[in-house]
Amino acid sequence: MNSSDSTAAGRPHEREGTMNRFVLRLGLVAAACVIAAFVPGLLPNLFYVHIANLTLISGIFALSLWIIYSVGQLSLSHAAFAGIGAYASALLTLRLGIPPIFSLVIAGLLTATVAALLGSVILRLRGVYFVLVTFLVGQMFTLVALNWQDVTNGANGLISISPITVLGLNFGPRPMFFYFAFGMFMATLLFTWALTRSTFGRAFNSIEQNIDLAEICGIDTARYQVVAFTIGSGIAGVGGALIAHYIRYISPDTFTFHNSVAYITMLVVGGRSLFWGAVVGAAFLTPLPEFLRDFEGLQRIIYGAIMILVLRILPGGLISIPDKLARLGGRK
Amino acid sequence: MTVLLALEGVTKRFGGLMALKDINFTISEGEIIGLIGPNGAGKTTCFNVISGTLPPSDGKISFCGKTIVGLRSNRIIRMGLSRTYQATSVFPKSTVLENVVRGAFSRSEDTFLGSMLGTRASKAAQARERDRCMAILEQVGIQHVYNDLAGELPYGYQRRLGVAIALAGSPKVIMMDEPAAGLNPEESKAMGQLIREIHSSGNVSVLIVEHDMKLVMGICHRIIVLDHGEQIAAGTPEEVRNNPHVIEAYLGTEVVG
Amino acid sequence: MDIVTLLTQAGVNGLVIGTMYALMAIGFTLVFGIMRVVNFAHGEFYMAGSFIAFLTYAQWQLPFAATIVIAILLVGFVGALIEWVLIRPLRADELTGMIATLGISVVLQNSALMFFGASPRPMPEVISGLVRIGPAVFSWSRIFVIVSAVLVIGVFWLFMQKSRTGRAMRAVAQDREAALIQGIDVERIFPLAFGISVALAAVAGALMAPVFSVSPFVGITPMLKAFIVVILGGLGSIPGAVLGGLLLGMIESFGATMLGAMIADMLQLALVIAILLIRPSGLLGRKEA
Repeated sequence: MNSSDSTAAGRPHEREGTMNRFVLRLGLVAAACVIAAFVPGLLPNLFYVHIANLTLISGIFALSLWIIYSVGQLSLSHAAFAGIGAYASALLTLRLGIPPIFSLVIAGLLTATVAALLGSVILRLRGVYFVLVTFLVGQMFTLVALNWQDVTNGANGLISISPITVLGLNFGPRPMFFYFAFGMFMATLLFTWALTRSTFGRAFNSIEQNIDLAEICGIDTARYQVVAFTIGSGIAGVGGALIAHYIRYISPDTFTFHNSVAYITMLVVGGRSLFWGAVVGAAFLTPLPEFLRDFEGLQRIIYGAIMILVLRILPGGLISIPDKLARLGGRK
Repeated sequence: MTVLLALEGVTKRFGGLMALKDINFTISEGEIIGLIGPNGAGKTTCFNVISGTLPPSDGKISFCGKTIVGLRSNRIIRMGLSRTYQATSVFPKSTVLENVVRGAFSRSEDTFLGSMLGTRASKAAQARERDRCMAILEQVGIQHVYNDLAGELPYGYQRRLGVAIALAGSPKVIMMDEPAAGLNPEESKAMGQLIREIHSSGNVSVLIVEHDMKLVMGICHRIIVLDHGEQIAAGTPEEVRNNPHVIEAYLGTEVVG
Repeated sequence: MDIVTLLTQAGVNGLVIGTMYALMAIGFTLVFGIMRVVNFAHGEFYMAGSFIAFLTYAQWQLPFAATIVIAILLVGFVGALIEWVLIRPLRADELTGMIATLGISVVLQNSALMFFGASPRPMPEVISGLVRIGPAVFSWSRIFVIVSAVLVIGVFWLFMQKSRTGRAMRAVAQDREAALIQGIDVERIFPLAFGISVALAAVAGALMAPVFSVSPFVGITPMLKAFIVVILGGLGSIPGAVLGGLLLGMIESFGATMLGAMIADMLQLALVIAILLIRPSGLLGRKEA
């Protein structure tokens, strides 16, 4: 947990203590990196490595969706922005021959720009109205991707997208891609964490808790909502580009409404109140359907059922389990 | 005495309904002004128009000599015109102290990059902020619960917290929408005392909407009376109390103080 | 074919899809108006209606009227149950209630996929043959859809206007607090409203099953259209849903005839996003307080 100066759930007792806390965090990050270094070698086969890779990318999507959610807005266009990033990066490498490592960055910036322009128009809506409009934006993306034949190649999608190479290192093979995805995931995670404790994070959280009061605290609620939407959707664009250069094939089916729902499910199941709930949700839900591959349909049913179940009996998500247990223990 | 807030011919229409009609008044430095009137007289609408929540249909509003019509609320508030809401309005999931710190958001010396990286300067700025906000909590008398979650505070404390949040922005004028609503007579009296203290200690002008006549008559220098969106009287508590229009407007409702 | 024939054909087609959209949108808007829940699973109840028609009419060869009755009762009951068990505890927060319906949608759609498979199944027509009016030719099956849908909408309208329960529903939609004060049992109204809402979607699904084919995914498009209609007509407004449905049906039919289906679809989405931004309360809806 981060210090209480940033997020809402800051409990009274975790107030002070700076130096050892910093060391602890550094240690955690270092430990995560060391463990990650051995993961591809320890996993029994490439299929598991593949799932680990998908999980890391899901983590990026879920975290970026959380950033948008942290101003109290639920976006159903997250997959669409991932798609914009994916198509942009793929086309930049396929048509202009830009190396993927650069196209990745350009795609992220481009997606963020689209999000900023769109966000400044649609973020005047809140609650279910915003959800509806983002749903429609998602539909619009699918239509455009399907029908703009010259650019997107329609339903056939784009094939043979080149893998990411940096200084001669090829991140195309699954175990190699794992390291790249892990780096990107850690960067997103640390960025999100730093964001929550920044002045922006404080403004986002104020808006989420009480937008009218935030406005009369002198917080420019309209601007900060656009900022959150731009950052979140921009990161989703990078995530989409990662998929494009990893799977090396994208089509309109890669970025549908169902993907957006899956990211929301990760948030809900992991826990919406804190950013690492998104990580927990992604880590829990991404491997799950992959192991149920043999039962077509069942994987999604379980997905939906888990979501409803969690909403019903664990509204705080998986990350609220320790709290809940502690409370149960205390009562006895 | 310099004029801080001035309304000239302010009018607000909702469709065909005249919610405010030709309102004119000023607030000068160091004044406590009461805005009263029967239910539906347009008091809250008047607040919303001044604070930029609703655009006026017509008329001029200026603050410190600059027109504020068309500015968004957060801009107006940053110029030094704070307000509180009629209902309790706090950040329920944050601590009481954190609530006040957020009220001071626009006054903060903390920077985005500094806070993101957790620099020493940022931490020092935040510490100074917390100290200043603790002093404000002391002023409104709820410093002992600074570490409680705002959503779990008793009602009377939440009202006081609302005032503290507004004060944190270092306002020149503070507008309070029914600060004593829902308080018992004792708490109401204490609220009146608090408003007087705020006024005297910080050189803050106050504009209050309030139903509790005893409170309004007791603390206000001047009173403006609205009825059906029209300004029917203005003057000292004495003058207003004896004004026949006012008595007529309140006839059948509560007795004037 | 001359232009008049073309336009008449387009008009009748517009009426067919328009009445279907209206049926879908009425239910969708009813639930939003009364419960403040955006039901993302609405299309799955349409799908359920389609499969009930497929089973009872095409396979068991029951009369089509029986099919409709079964669809209404079965789906209505299941809907009320879903409201009672799953949505009720989550309704307090608009977003949470909506997320729950996303989950329900996923479960229902994929359950159908598991039981029936993905391939679309054709259905025999209820009434076959063609009718010639002037130069234009229509199939009886389409006219049957229009007439049935209008009948169902009529019955629903009478129910909302005349019956005690219907009036109570309108009162709750208008102002929940006031309805409570009048002694209306709001808690009983919710499952009922949800049941009626999804039963209407099932009727639409059953009626359209012979026109289109039946598959686990047939509900997606009608739901998207219900969204659009409801935004056009105003979230929560029933007259808005009827008019919006007919309007969208016509726009779509004429748009597809004159511009092509793809461009018509895009224009539709753009139009609706614009309306949502300029006037979130819809063309006929009342402003939110």
